[in-house]
Amino acid sequence: MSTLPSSAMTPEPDMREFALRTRKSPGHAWLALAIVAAVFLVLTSAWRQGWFTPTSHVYIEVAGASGIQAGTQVRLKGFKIGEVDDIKLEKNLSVRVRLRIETEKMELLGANASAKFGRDSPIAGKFIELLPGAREGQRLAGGQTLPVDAGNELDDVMATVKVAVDKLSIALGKIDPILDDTRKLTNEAASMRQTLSSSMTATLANIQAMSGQFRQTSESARVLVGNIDNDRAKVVGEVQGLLKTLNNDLPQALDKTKDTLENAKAASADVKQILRESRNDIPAIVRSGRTAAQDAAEITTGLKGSWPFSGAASPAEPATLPLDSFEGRGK
Amino acid sequence: MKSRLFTRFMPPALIATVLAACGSKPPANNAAATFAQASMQRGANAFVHGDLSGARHEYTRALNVYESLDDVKGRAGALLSLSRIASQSGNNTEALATVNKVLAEPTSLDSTTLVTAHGRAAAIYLAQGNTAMADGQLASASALCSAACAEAGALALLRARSALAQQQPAAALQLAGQALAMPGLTASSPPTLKPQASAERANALRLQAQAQLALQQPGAALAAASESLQLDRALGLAERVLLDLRLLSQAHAAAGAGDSARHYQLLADRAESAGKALRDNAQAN
Repeated sequence: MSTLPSSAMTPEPDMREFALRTRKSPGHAWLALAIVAAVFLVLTSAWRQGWFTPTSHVYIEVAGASGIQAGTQVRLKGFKIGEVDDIKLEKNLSVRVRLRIETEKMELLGANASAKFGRDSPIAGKFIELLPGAREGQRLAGGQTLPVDAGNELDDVMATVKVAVDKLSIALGKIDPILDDTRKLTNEAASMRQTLSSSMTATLANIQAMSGQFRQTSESARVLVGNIDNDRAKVVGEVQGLLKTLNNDLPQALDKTKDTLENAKAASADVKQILRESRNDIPAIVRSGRTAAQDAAEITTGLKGSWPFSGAASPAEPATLPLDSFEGRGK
Repeated sequence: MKSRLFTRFMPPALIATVLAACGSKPPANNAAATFAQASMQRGANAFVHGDLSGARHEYTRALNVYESLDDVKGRAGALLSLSRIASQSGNNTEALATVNKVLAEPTSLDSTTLVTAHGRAAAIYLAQGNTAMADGQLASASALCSAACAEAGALALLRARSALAQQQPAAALQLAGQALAMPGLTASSPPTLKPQASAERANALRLQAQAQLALQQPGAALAAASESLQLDRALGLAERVLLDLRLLSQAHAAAGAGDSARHYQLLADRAESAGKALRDNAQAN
C-alpha cells in the first residue's frame, strides 16, 4: 500500500489560501468580473465603430474647409462607407481632405470615381457623396486623389438664408419681451398720466408693426427653405431676390427698430420719472406693498405659463365688470 | 431597495422637471386677442377710477375686436361691462338692451357669464321698479348658481333688494343675514384687500339696516349702517357713503337722537353737493 504525497491528497497551500481569501472577500470576484465586462464593452464598442474594419485612405482637394470637419460622412449611393479623418491646409492654400473608406467598398469605386458635397436637407450639415465612376476596369486605389464636382452653390446659398432667418428669429425673440415690458409700462402710465399713455401706445404700435414685418420676412424665408428640395431650379431666383432683400432691407429695418426701441426706452424713462415724482404722494407702505404684489403677480404669471403648472392654471380672463348687488342705484 | 432607488433618482428627476417648467415658454395669445384683453383691462381701470366715458370707449373697442373674431365669450364680457357702465350712468334702458344681447344667445355661453347676465338684468329691472321681471331673472340666475358660485352673495342681496321693494323687510333682513354668513362676504382687513367682497359686505349691511329701520329696530340699524359706512369710506365708494350717511341720519331720528340725525343729514348733504360738483367738473373736462 503506497502512501500518496500530502500534496496529492490536499490542495496546494497557495490555492487553498486563494480559495479561502475569495470565500472571505467576494469583492475580488466581482472586481474581476467588472474588469472583464469593461474590456468586453470597450472591444464591442471599438468593433462597432469600425476599429477592426480594414480601411483605405483617398483624398480630395477643396478650396476651403467650410462645412467639412473630421467625422463628416462619406457616402456611396446614400450608404455610409467612411468618414473624413483629417483636413490639412496645403502650402498652395488649398485644403486637402483625407477620407477613410472601408477597404471592401473600394472595389465598388472605379479609378475615375469623383466626389461631390451634399446635404440631407438645406439646413443639415454637409456630407461627401462619392460617384462610383466606371463599373468595369481599373478600381480606385488607396492614396488616390479624387476630383471634386463643384456643383452649384445653392446649398451654401441656403445656408446663408438659414443664418439670416436665425438672426431674424433672435431679433424677434428679443423684441417680444420688450413688447411685454412696454405693455406693462403703458398700463402703469395710463393710470398715472393719461397723456403719456397715447404716446406709449403709438410707440408700442410702431414696434408691433416692425415686429410683424420681421415675422413676415422670416416666415417667407422659412417657407422658401422648406420647399427648396421640391423644385430647386424654380426657387433659385426667389432665393437670390430674398437675399437681396435681406442684404438691402435688413440693415435699414434694424436701424428703424433701434430707433423705435430708443423711443420706447425714452418713454420708459418718462414713466420712471413720473413714478419718481409721484413718490411723495404715495405712502411708503403702499409703494412697498404694491411692489411686492407686482413681484408676486409676475412670479405667478410666470408659473402659470410654465409647464406643468400651465395645465393646472386657466388662462387669464378678460376684465369683465363683476356683478354688484348695488348696480342700478347709480344716478 | 425600492426606497433607495426612489431617494436616489427622485431629486434629479424633480430638478429636471422644475428646470423644464421654468424653461418652457408660456403659450402666446394672438395679437388681436391680446389687444382686446388690454382694452378690457384699461376699461376696468377707467371704471374703477370713475371715468365712465373712458371705460365705455375701451369696452366698445374690445367689443368690436371680439365681434370681428367671432369670439362669443369675449363679446359677452364686453357687452356685460358696457351694460354696467350704462346702468352706472343712469341709462337703464340702454343697459337692459345691452344685457339682453347677451341673454339672446344663452346656449353658447358658460354658466358664470349667464349668472352675471341674469343678475345684471335683475338689478336693472329693480332700478326700473319692475320687481316681477327682476325676480324672474334672479330665479334664472339662481338655477345656474350653486352654493359655491362666486356671485351667490350678490344674488342673495338682489333678492333682498327685491323683497324690500315689495315691502317685505323681514324677508329682506333674512336674505341679507344669509348673504353675510357666506364665506365670500367675510370681513377682510383692510377692506381694500378684497374690494369686491368688502363692497358686497357693505351692501349687505346697508340692506340689513334698511330692513331693520323698516321693522322699527333703529338700534340694530345704527350698528349695521355704521359698519357699512366704515367699509364704503375705506373703499372710496362715494355714492354708497352718501346712502350710509342718510341711513344713519334716519336711524338716529328713529331712535330719538335729533342732534345726531341732523349732523348726519348735514354730512349727507355736503357729500351730495361735493359729488355733484365732481361730476359737473368731469363733464366740463
